[in-house]
Amino acid sequence: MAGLPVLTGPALAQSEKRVLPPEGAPVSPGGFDPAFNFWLIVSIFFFTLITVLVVVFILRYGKKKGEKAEGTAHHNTTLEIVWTVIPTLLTVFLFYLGFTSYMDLVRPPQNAYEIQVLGQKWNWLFTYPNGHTDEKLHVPAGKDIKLIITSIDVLHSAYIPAFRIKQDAVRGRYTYVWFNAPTPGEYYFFCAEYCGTGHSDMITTCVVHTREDFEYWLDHADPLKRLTPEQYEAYRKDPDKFTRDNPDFSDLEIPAVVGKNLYGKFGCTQCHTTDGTRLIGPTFKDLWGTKRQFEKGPDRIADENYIRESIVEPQKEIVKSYEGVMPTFKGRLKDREIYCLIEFIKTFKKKTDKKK
Amino acid sequence: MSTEAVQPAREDNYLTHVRGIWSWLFTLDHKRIGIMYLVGIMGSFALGGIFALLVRTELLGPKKTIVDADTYNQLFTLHGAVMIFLFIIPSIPAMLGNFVLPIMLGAKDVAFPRINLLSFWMWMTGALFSVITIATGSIDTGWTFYTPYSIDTSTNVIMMTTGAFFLGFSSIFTGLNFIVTIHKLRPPGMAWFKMPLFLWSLYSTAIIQVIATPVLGITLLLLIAERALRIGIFNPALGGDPVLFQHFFWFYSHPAVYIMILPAMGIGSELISVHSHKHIFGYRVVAYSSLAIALLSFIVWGHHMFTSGQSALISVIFSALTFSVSIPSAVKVFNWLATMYKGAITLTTPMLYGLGFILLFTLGGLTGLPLAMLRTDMHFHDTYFVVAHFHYVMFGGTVIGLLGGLHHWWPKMFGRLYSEFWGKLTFLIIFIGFNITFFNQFILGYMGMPRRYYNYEDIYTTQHVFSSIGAFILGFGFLMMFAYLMHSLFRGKKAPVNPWGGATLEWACPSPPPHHNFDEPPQVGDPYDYSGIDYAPETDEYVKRPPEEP
Repeated sequence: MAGLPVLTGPALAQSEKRVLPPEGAPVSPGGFDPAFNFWLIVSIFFFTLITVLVVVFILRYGKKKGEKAEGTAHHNTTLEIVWTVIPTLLTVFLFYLGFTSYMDLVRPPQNAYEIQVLGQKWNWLFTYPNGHTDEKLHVPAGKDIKLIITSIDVLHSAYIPAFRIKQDAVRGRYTYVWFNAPTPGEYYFFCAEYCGTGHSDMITTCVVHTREDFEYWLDHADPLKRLTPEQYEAYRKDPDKFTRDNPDFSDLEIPAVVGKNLYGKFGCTQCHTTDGTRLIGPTFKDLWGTKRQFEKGPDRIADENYIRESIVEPQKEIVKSYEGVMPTFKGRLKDREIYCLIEFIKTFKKKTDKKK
Repeated sequence: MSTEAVQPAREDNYLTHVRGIWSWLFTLDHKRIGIMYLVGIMGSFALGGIFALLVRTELLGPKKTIVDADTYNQLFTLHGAVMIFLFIIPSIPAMLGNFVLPIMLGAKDVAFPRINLLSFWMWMTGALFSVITIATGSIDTGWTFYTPYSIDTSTNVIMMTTGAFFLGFSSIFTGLNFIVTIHKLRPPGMAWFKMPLFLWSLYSTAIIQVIATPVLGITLLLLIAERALRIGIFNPALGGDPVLFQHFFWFYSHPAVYIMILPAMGIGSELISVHSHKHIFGYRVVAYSSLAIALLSFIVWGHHMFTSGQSALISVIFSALTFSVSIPSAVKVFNWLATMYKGAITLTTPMLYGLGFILLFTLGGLTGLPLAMLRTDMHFHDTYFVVAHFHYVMFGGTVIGLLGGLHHWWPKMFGRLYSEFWGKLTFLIIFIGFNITFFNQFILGYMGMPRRYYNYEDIYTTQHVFSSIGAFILGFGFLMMFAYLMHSLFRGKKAPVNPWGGATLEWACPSPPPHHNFDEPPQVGDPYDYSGIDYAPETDEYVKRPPEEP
């Protein structure tokens, strides 16, 4: 905590961590409050109605033992249809409210700022595109943030109550959630899926900086800033050799650069080009985010899970017009290395994407 | 007088028919099996309750209060596992259903008395495994046994899941027995729609028990195989899929929620009608809604997994289907209210539980809606909001319904009355204690307090302290209940044949019933027609008007 004011800028030094949404501009994806409020009104209405009826009936029809009931008909079709149809219509509307805003939640904006979230017993690790890793989630205010979530051990769940979002972290797959918090501040970031001894201490902070503060923070957190241009060039060429020769930089691990290194080391170059040339396997050029067609099975967008599965289970989906000859890399590549390869492949995504 | 005529002087009833411990442990009498279940199941309830009180004591403050994190994790797991598998799933069908169902049919016993005994011993075996689990390293996975945690943990998962496996078969056998009994042993004159609604709810429950429970058995065996043999079906380290376990688990465990609540709804129908002394309103709708709930319960399991990473399309479909279950439940509540309208409501202890059931179940049902709504569940999932919701349904619904049923049929089961004063006072204490405990947890959930947390942030302290105080009040209420029921058992006033004025067949049978239930086949009529039943103030009981009177 001591170093935090330096990193967060003076504006945040006195702020309190929140579990409830900030006042002022709403956090995206929205939809929680309208849905919740409508439900609350409906529920209060029905609960009050039922309670009042129970009390009134006790007072009005409470009898001593032996007194006979006035009695009514044993059923009333009109009444029964009315009290079936009204709740049905209300639940349809409740479903609709939850559904539309959910669709907003599961479709992250195209050019969101991507941060990898790694859950492990019992802390969170956030990896930035420049390779910086942090135990707190630092984000700029007012920018779409997409979290790519996974776990290295048991289930965890990334939960920011103030933004009303939650997504499980599952080993062996990637899950997503996005948000856009316009108000700088500090927000609780919980683990919501039981994970053992330290579950209730697996708590960190989502620090929302002003844009200027975030850049200031990122500059100081950016491992690249520690390198001279010559060193960076040397690192990019052969990160293994560079970190071997410069023990001070042994922790330097920029995902896309490490991925490039693995791309050479594991022989991917034999079949996959990065310039669009067709070899035995599909090229990486323009692969990311496009629709893939397969010999069998439905089409799929090339996302993190697709690349991951193509590496660990290459025979599952064979891209149309190719032969299924790729061996599996299951067990040969670590989770972290697969993520680096994904980041590497991302660098070849279609340029036009950025302008959308 | 009529009591004298029905109850022979020498007191030959099912309790005194044969004596000795073996005459109980290997009895084929459904009533005795029901009583053995009563002892076992209420004992499990006490055990689960002690775990709950330990959990609430730990949560009186953040950080360590009485135990460390690992012990806390075992405590909440054992609370859940004992309450779900040993107590609430068998509770109403096995203890009250076993006792009441054959008598309501005018039958001597269930269709397969031996399978009934086997079912009880399956339960005992499961309970034994659970006790061994507690004694040997316990378990800390949560009652849901989610993988991969349940594969990695060093605690005794195999022992507990083996226990749950046996308990599952106990449940299947009971369900099977009830289905066959209702099909084959209905007396002449009792058509399907002349059956008491409690039987409709037990029948619907039995369908779920027979169809869903085998899936739990398979899932638990796969989990055991995964732990023991590393087969790689759920373990992501071996290429398995941990979310697949959740699908398997909830394919049983969501219908299981209705195994728990449907019988309580059936009791609700009996309590409201009998103690309002008025024909149930919309009989057919109430009966059909039980069946509808049973069938719909099979296609909503995915709503437990909205945040698990399952596809958005699947989540949307499950959300829509989930809302459909709320309709038959809402309809039942309206039917109960309409039954009370223009009735002759006697505020007996069972009726108070019936009314408490309506109110608490309604709140439990309503708070399920924002968990079925996709956007709001993204916030509430795995928070105290969910904990509060299911306790309103499971405790406010099932347990309150169960206690209502217990107080309703207690005079029949033991031939003794309990103190109405202490009964009502205890109801009030339990009702208030329950609401203090769990209403606060809705607020905690709204504030984002995740469940299964040993330690918590200071902002949550107030609600946690209130919740714990409520739990102690609740615990005290149960001690009082135990005391006055024990008093009733040994010192209670003798119960008449029909203390409440019920029209179903068990109220035509002596209290307590003789070994064979009925000496002569009883007269079957409309189970909710109270017009021919009069109150006899001199003996404080209800008697059937002789049929020759107009």
